[in-house]
Amino acid sequence: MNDKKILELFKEGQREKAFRRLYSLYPKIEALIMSKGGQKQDASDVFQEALIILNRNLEKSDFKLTASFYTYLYSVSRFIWKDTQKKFSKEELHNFNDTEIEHFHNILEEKKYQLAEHAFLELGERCQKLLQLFYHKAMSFKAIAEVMQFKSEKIAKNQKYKCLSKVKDIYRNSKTFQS
Amino acid sequence: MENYIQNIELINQYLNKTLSEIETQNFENRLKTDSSFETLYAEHITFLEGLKRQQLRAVIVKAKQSYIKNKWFRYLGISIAVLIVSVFVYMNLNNTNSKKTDVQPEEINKTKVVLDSVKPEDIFVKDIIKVDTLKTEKVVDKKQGVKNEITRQKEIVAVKIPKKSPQKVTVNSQKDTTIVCNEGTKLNVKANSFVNENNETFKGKVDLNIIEYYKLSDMLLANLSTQSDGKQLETGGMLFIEAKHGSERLNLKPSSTIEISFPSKNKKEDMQLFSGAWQNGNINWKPENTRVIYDEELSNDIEAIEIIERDDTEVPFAVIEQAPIYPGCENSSTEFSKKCTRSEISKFVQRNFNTDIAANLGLRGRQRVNVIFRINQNGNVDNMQFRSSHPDLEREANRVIALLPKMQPGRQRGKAVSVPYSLPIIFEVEGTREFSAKIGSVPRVSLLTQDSIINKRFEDRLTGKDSIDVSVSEVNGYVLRTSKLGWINCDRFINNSNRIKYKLKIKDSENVIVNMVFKSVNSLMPSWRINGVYDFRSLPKGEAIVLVAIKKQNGKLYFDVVETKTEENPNIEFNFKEVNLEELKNELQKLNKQF
Repeated sequence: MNDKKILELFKEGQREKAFRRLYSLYPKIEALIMSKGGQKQDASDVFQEALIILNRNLEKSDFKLTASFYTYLYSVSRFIWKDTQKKFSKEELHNFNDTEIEHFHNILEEKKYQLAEHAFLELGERCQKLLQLFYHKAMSFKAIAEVMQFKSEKIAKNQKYKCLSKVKDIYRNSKTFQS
Repeated sequence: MENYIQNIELINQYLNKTLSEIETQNFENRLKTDSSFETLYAEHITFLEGLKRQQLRAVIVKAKQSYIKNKWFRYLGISIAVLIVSVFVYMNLNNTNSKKTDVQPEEINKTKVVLDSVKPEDIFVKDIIKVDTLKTEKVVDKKQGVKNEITRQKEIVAVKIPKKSPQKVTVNSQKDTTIVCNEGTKLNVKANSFVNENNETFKGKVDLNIIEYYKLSDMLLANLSTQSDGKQLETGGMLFIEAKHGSERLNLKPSSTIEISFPSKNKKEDMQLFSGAWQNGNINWKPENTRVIYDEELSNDIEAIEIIERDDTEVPFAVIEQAPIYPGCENSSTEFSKKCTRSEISKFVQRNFNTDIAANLGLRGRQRVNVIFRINQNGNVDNMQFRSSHPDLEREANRVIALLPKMQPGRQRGKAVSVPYSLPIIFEVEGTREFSAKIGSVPRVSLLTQDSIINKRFEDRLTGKDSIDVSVSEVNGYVLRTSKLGWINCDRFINNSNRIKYKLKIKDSENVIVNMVFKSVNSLMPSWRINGVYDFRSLPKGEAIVLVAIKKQNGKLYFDVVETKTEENPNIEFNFKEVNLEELKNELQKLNKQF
């Protein structure tokens, strides 16, 4: 029914439309998080995270949605919330079933990317823009130099690598800091 | 640095799949063997994923916003649609009803003139014993699909409280008619009782508009109250009746009356008819002189004497295969339901027949009224015929028989047929000539249960008790007569020795109407506003009451109720809440339990 349509939207690359439909499930997730002691803001963050994980999984060729979107998002959200609360006991970790293990891996993976994202956000505005133009918009250095008013293509290229090594430094630091 | 840039470029190319097959293979081999290169690669992937998250998040936030916007648009759309529909309906209703306003005050003046012209001779008209044939039509009102609302002309303020819709019944003025209204009021209109504005007997179709006020909410919405020159009344129901032919207003002939039966569960004594007139926004009820008036012209109408319709098959009660069934007598055994029906009809007549009439007429000793009527194919009673020593007794018998409930019609060979039924009412009036001094003693009624049509003998036990006291509390309605149309109220005075003056001061009293509902009796007192003080005049002390305040300001309605007791120097503050018309109606309907 509705799920099929949403899946099609994802396949067609109309992610925004798909997410908009999935947001109709949000009130239920919100109720779940709030029943577990979270705030509205927490619920919003958790749901966003769950959507990101869902999206990443959908992009993997070997992923198959076995349950409805609602069931999937519900269990992932629950996992995320529990994880942020650091409430998994050792016993629970040992007794995870397959899907739970998968969720857990997804979350761990996502945390790594989250760090990278944070590192990126710590960059200066110009660096952020430069990297975004290069990686998202897939613009050539020549075009970037024009948009960002670098004197030459080469300066843009050098600037990009500087920004890139900077973000990786920040990432590495925060990673060691975390562990 | 140079090396680093080269490596990153290589990774980008690999990810963008711009490397040749051999280069790709080399790249993958290097990933497996060169661990520092592998770390670099993994790091870069992580970075790219982090970057992607950033982008994805922006998409999700956008999606969320548009979802919320959509939701609100939907709510907004729905509420706008609802608003438009309700405004449309409201305006429609207002249009259809604006014509019906400003009729009532004139109506009341007119009826007053009518009463004054009642001649006392009418009371003593000599009457011969006659067969009085009544053709009864029961007019079932079609409930109007759209609730009609009339705006009250009294209000100067912009808010209009819609009036209860009248029930419209068209009757032939040359026939006797019984009308049963939606809320149980029964009207008995005699043939040729209407006159036009020039006092000529009117012949033709008469449109009767009847509004019933039994519910507290209906009364409050119409700003009706129960007081007669400041004295408190208890009501058994109010009516507004007007008769029209097209736009011409019709009145009752001075010598004619309409018989009104008000339904009631708990009958109270001393009920009488009051007619109302509006004074300063409140209605004032004046007792009508209930007079016994004979109708001279009753039998002059040939049409009315037509007894039996041609295609009507009649089967007497005693021989019919399946007798009519009185409500509550449904039983698999036809014999049982027959007996039950017979005894229920007898009981009903015994209960409702007012033998005081005979006593008041000065009749003494055994009285007999022979009644023949028919239970037609619809289960209704018609073709009533009466014979007795006095026309008043016939009239009373007519009244009682007309009150019989609708029954299941009798059936012969599976087909509904009319069933003639004969019922002699026999009762004894006791006491001496000075009877009027002893109102308390109740004459006894007994019924001779003999079907005179086929002279069949009945078992004695069918009669049940052969005499039953007519108990006032058992009568299921008030039956009264009026020679006036307009506002009619079935009321009695409430007498209470311990009375106090009740005055209420209210802040911000502009455009506020306060009415008082009594919890113990069916009474509704208005207030007179003088300089911001609401004067309820004199009231019994310590009564549980509900004060109902309605405020109209700037086209808006405000409403509040306060439950309290009647005490001197009350200190009450209203906490007005804004309501729309529908909410006001609902709030008032909640009060109906109090009545």
